[in-house]
Amino acid sequence: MLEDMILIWKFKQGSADALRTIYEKYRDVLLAIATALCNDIHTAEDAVQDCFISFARSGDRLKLKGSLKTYLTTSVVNRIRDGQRRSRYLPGRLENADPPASACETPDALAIANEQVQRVSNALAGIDPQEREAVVLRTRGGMTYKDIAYMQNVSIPTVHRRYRSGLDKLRVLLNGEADQ
Amino acid sequence: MKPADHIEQFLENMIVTSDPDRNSRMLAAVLQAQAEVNEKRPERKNPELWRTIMQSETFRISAAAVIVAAVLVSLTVLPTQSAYANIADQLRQARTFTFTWIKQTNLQPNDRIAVQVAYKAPGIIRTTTPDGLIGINDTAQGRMLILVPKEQAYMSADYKNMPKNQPDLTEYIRQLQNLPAEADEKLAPKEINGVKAEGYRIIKKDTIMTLWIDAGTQKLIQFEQEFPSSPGMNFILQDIRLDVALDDSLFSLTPPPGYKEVANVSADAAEVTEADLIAYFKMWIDVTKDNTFPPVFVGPEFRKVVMELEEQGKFARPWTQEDRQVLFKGGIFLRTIPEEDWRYTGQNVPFGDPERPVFWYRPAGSKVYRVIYADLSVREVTPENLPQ
Repeated sequence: MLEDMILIWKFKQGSADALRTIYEKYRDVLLAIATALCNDIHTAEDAVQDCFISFARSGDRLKLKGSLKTYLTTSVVNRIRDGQRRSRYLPGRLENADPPASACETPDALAIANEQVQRVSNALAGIDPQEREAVVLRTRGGMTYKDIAYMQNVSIPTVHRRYRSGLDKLRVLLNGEADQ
Repeated sequence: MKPADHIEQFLENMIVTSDPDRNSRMLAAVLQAQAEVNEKRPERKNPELWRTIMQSETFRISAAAVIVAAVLVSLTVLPTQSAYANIADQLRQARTFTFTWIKQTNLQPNDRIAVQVAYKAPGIIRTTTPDGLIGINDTAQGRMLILVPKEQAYMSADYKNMPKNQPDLTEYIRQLQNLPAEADEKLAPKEINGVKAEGYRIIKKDTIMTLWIDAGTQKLIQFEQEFPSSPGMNFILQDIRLDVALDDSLFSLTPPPGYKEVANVSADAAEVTEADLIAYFKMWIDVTKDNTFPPVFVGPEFRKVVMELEEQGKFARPWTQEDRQVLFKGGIFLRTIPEEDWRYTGQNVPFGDPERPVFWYRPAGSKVYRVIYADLSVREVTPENLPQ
């Protein structure tokens, strides 16, 4: 928290190093969230880049009320939502994109992890967008139900319900796929 | 480990990375954006690291921080707000305004709408879009005239019984005329188009407003609105002039000679019903080649989206007078429902699925919601059973 505040302060002074550090600190998590939401790594990269460029341009006008991570996550999610609303980032099939890499060290482990990421991403694309958001933001984004409720403009119990329902549907989809 | 067995844990640890070249290009673009901003801004002085830290919620709840903050505040020379107070007062008393209203989402380079606005109290607004479309809206009379100069055509609209406090340009001007007497924060000066400007910030629940005042002439040169819940989107007012002489002809609701009428629509907000909204959807589905629901339902983006779809050849036939009437009544019905009581999820959804909800709303005084499905059927649903 304190580290982020110092980074923000330096960033607002125009520090490129601070911006680079912020970018490197949050890029991967934002990319994972964006990919999970739109199921296409290229459009996810575009959304993350747009988010950081907008952030970079905000300069000393930036005013944060919550954490930097929540701010950036909200920014990416809004871009994905707007893109989907305007058919720019329609949820696609991850097979159409390059497979996402994973942190596995051996080629075999990498192949298995990639396959699993792909299956989960495809399953995510098959559930309701609000449920998908709740699941992804809660798990990969580490956001609180309260923050997600604020972002989705609904009550906390609704977010909780979306989260549970989304997980249940994901399990059904993944188990169904495994049974085939 | 199968993902289905430990889905939460799997998602928490899911890693996606870009290839190194793409990542380098992304970072370079981000740093370039910052460099461009840095070039334009004046030298900053008096770094405020501890003020930044002290403003965070975490530190605010700490008793020690509160004590230190009190000391810091007592040592700070509070900036004079006379320039801001004068502007707030001038805005409150102004009878006419002209300004350029810019909306941008920062999603893509050309995702920016600039509209010329002239306002005359108590509630007549004239807007001119970059493509030349002129709208004159007399909110007191409930009449609207839309002129298309390049086609020498016009559309007129009458409406009545509109509910108050709905978000529109009039409401936006009302906010401008009701700024608090004191700003929450004075900002470091900056240059705007070569003019040294003093900045003042007002923070409301969902909006951050910033006024930039010419340090020399003490006139308002820019007014900005940002929305923390939608980072990147903002409204900017520029070329602001107060109490300018505006000829009455600018606000005339009589179309210029030689203009032909393409539509004359009307609606009474007290009489429109859900059926008008369904007719709106049905009309849109009929007029689109792929029979889908509209990608955008209302708001300033609507016209832009319609124009884009027209350019893309998505419509099966030209719009008729009847279509426009249906559109207008459906839009008016929507204005009768508080924004927090409806939701649209039908963006580009194909017509036909009786289980796919596209819109729901809570009628005034009702405990249940009405849900419209993609086959245009309607069912009542309790709040706990609303679509997720």
